[in-house]
This record gives sequence, C-alpha cells and structure tokens, in this order.
Amino acid sequence: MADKEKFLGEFEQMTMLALIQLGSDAYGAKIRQLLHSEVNRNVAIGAIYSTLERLEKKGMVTSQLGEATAERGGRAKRFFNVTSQGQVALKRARTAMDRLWQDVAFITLAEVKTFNVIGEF
Amino acid sequence: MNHNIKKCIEHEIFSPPSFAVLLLTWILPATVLEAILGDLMEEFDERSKANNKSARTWFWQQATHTSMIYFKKIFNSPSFIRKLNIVIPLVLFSTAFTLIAWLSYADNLAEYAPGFWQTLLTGQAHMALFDGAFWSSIGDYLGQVDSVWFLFDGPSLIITFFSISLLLYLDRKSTFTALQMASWGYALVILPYIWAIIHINSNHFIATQIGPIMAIGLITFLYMVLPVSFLVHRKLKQVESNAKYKDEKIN
Repeated sequence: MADKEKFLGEFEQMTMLALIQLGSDAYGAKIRQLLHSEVNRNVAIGAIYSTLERLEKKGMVTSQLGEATAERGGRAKRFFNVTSQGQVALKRARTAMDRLWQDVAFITLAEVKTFNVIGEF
Repeated sequence: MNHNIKKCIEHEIFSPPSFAVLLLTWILPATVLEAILGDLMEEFDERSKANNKSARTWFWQQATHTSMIYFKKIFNSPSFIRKLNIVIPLVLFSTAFTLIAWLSYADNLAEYAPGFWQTLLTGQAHMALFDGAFWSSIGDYLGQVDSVWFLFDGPSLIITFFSISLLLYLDRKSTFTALQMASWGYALVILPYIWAIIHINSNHFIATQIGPIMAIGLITFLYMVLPVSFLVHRKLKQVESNAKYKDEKIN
C-alpha cells in the first residue's frame, strides 16, 4: 500500500469511529445521525457512502447486506465493520495527533486582554 | 370508504418527493442505490411523523447533495473522461470535415450567404455553423463530394507531422500525464486555426489569398484531432489500468 493510503483524513476517522461506536448496528442512516448528534456534523448520506466506499477499497472497512424493512420501502440495509487494518490505521492516526498536540498551549482570552493593555502603555 | 381515503391521504403525506427519488435513481451507481435510498426513506419516515414539510425539504437537500457528490465522481472517473475523449473529437472531426466540404464545394458564397462571406474574409470559418445558409445547403453539397482530394493539403501535412512528432518526443522525454498530453495535444490541434485567423486579420489579403491560409488552419485541425485523441486515450487507459492494479493490490 502506498504511504499516502495509510493515512486517514478527519472525516474518514470520524466515520470509522462512528462504526466502532455503533457496533453491529452500523449502517448509513445511523452513522449519519450519530455524527450529527455527537460531533454536530450534519452531512449528506452520499458523503458517508462515498467515504465508506473509499475506505472499503483501502481495506479498512468491510460491508454486508442486511434485512429489508417496511419503513425503508423494502430496501436492505448495508452494514459496515472496521477491519483490523482499519483499527491499526485509526490508532496510528491518534498516536500521530497526540504527539503533535503535546505541549501545544493556547493563549487564553484574559491573557490576550492583558497583552492589549500592556501594549496601550 | 373513509378508512381508504385516510390511508390514501397518509400515503400521499408520507411519500418522499418522487422527483428527488428519481434523481437519485438516475445518478447513483447500482452498488449503493438501494442502501442509500433505504437509509433516506427510513430517516424520512421518522422525520415526516413530526413535520412532513420539513421532512420533504430535508429529503430534497439530502438528494441534491448526494447527487452532486456522485455526479462529481462520475465526471472525474477516468472511464467517463476516456469516453468523452472519444465522442468529442469524433464530433469535431465530422464537423470540420463537413465544413471543409461545404467551403470547397459551395458555389458563389458571396451571393448565396453574403453575411457569412464577410465573416469568412476575416478567417472565422467556424461561424458558418451559426449560419442558416450552411445548414440548409450542406446536404446537397455533401452529396456532390466525389473524391477526397479536397482534403489534401501539403503544408497541413507537414505541420501535422511535426506536431505529432513533437508530442511523442516530449512524452518520451518527460513522460506526460494524461492531462499534460491532452493540454499540449489539443493546443497543437487548435493553434494553426487561431494562427490563421490572426494572420488574416493582421494583413490585408485579397479573397483568393485567404483560402489557402484558412485551409492550413482547418485541414490541420482535421488531420490532428483524431491522432491526438488516440494519444490521450492511450494515456487515460494507462491511468485506468494503474488504478485497477492498485485496487487489486490493496484487496
């Protein structure tokens, strides 16, 4: 696999984490609702499927068809799972981000005001 | 009876916008169509119980955003671009052939299409495509075509030979991508025609002198458009087979 394909984008990570959170109930509508309620990302269902298709091509996600229900107009659900390769990629992404976040400090609003007051003198 | 009417009304209220469903059915690939439509129907069903109007608006938003995402995917796929690279050059070749045949066989254009004749004297032969005289007479003139010698032009052959050689040399030297090949190739296809228009307009030629200059622009275009399309097609096939190989390697 090319180096570029080992890395995950932010939305790819969010989608994979949603799959892990949902467990055996991970299908399009539920993933969309979870991303909306938990991280306030109100995305189109197409964006989720497009991302999942890409992840499936990379071998990080697998899918299988489930049962059809009446409220879905008799259409089957497509359930998704994170593969072990996907889990490794997720952990790698988290380690990389944790390393980069170390010793990162933001200036608080109070400090900004203090600097402004000093600047005026 | 009342029960049936109630059921009909409920069915009417809780149906998602049919045109949005049609749009999705038209654009989405078969691999995701059922799952996406099912997910949307499920969420629409829940939302419409609370507020049907906002549920329909939500369905429309989802359908248009999803269609846009997949439309972009189709448009950016190498196979679609490859098909486009076959269809458009074929149309351009046929158009150029028809235009050259008309200009070669049409009698007394100055009287038959006086408006277009003035435009033609500025080198803009393509303007014939917007002239009624061209479309009304093209069938008759195409019927008169009895040989292909009118398509032979020495300078155009030389320009085509050097242009294609240049493309192949540049490709061998710096290994063109499909985009680079298309940009260079089609630029070389159109360049002689643009040169002809500029050359005619920046000099004061008489009508008989304009013909050979225009022939270089138009006939070079005709000679080059299909070979360039083939070179781009070859590059796009390479891109496609590389992508397939990568997918197989991953799986």
